[in-house]
Amino acid sequence: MIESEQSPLESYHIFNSSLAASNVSQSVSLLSKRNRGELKQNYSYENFKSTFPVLATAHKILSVQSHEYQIIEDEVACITINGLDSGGEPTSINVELLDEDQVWVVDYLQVLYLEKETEYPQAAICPNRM
Amino acid sequence: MPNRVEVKLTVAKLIEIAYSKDKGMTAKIVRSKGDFKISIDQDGNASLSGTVGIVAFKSDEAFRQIGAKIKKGTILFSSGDEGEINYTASFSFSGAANITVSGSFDVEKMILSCSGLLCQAARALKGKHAAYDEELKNIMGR
Repeated sequence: MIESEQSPLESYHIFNSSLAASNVSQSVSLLSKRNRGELKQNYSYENFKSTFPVLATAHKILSVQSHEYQIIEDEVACITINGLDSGGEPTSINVELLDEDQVWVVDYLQVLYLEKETEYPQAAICPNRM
Repeated sequence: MPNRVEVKLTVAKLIEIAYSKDKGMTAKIVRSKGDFKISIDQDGNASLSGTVGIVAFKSDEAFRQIGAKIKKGTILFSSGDEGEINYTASFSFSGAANITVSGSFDVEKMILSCSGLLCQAARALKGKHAAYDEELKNIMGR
């Protein structure tokens, strides 16, 4: 098996930086095939944002990042990033990424608005899907 | 994407809509000692249910301010200390993400705010009453 060039965390950071740079095609290329299918080949930012209102603004969730963790099991990885939201309140993000064609791609993201910093996870946690 | 305060305000608005639909049963459910929950489906159909009964309502108005269409929502409520109710709300706006927030509120303050003049004014204006939103934000914790 050929290993992915970037780690899941690196992939997620590239996903965020491409969103910040309005590089929608790069952001879309880092979505899982399942998510890309939802866009129905319309890769405009407007369609991306209306289809995935949370993912399309993922780069704005945390204004400050403190700790990040990742766990990889075969072709599935979960990352957890702790930090502060725009209001300075503790927030944690859990992301599940899949290894598709040797690239870690974003499949699911959960934002947790926490009450206290003591609630920060101390390890990578896979998102609770709904 | 909705921020923390907007998500908490949405929780309050959902209770308010249930209250405006069935005052008696909503008060009975939220004042009961047992756990209760609100479930929302992708068509915006919502239900507030507990051991003492159920109130069905449309949730669209609660999400109007957020500006995103709900795909699924679940709010679990449990009794806390001194009349406080603890809750964990999870809202999903697509098949790829959800937002979860926990908090607590004073059940009597919530019910009184919804039977008071502010709430009536808010309903008259279909939720466009800024002062009422501020009151709800204080109740839900900023």
